[in-house]
Amino acid sequence: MRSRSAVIAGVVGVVVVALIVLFVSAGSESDPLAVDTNRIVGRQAPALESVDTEGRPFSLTDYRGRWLLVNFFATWCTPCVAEHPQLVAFERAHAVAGDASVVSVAWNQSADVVKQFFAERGGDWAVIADEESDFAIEFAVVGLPESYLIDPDGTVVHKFTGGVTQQEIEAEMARKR
Amino acid sequence: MSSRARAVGWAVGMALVVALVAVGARQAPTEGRSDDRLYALAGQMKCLQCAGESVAGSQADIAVKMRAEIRSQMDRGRTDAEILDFFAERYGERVLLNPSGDGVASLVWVIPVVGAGLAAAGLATVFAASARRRRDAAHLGVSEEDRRLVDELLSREP
Repeated sequence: MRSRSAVIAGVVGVVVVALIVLFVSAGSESDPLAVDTNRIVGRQAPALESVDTEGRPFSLTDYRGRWLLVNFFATWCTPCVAEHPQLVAFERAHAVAGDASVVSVAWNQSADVVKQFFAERGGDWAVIADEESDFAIEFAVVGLPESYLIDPDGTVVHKFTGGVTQQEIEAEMARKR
Repeated sequence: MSSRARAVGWAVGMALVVALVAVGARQAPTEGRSDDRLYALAGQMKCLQCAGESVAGSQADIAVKMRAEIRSQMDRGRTDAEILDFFAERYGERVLLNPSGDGVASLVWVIPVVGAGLAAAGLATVFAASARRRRDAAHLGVSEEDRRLVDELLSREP
């Protein structure tokens, strides 16, 4: 009887230890943003179409043949505001050569608010007010700011989470060339 | 309690369990544009901006946007599987709260089945041992005289 109890206790102990190991190895979910599950990088960019804040038709495929940084932001997002001058500098550095552009997608904001933001802080590129469009879902955006670097062939080659600098974008482009 | 009454009790208990499981497993609508279907689908997805919340229960920006996308896809006549696949293809399998049957995730499905099997086997073993003990007791050779003596002792005033 005593040996049977020992066997049962042993089996229960092994199962409990196995479950603890399983849950620990599965990782903590206390910070959901710490686990990046995005599947877009490495794939062809979605062929999205919309209208920009100036009312002009917009198509992502029109940017084929040059590098494109798709930046998801909001005017109320502090890191987005902080990174904006870096995007302006990046766009200006490539304006003459025309080999790279920026497109901004404003998260759930009206065109008027976004236009005011660009009027105050600079930036001369297409901006989509993503109130109705599905850009954020198509790129599997989770938080702000996020930026996606698309190569001249239209493949999403890198995802930047949080504020990005001109230097980081250039470095990533050089790495992927 | 007689064995017949005990059997009836077990039968009623089992019927109650089956009824509760049937009610609990009631299927949400799998087609149409109802809110029931929308929230049933959203309830199968994890809010990736929050800790421990589904897309159905969260008011985070991403959850609101994902519900709008689910609604849009329902309006376009997509099936439940197509809608869940759409999100899994972009956000990865981890966006789904009901894990797939592959790899380590399959343990989520296997462990309860194995546990239920072990519990049933344990109950069967206990019941069999109990029945064996009753049979053994019946063969102890208790005479009518013994029974009469026990009854007499039990009926005495303390």
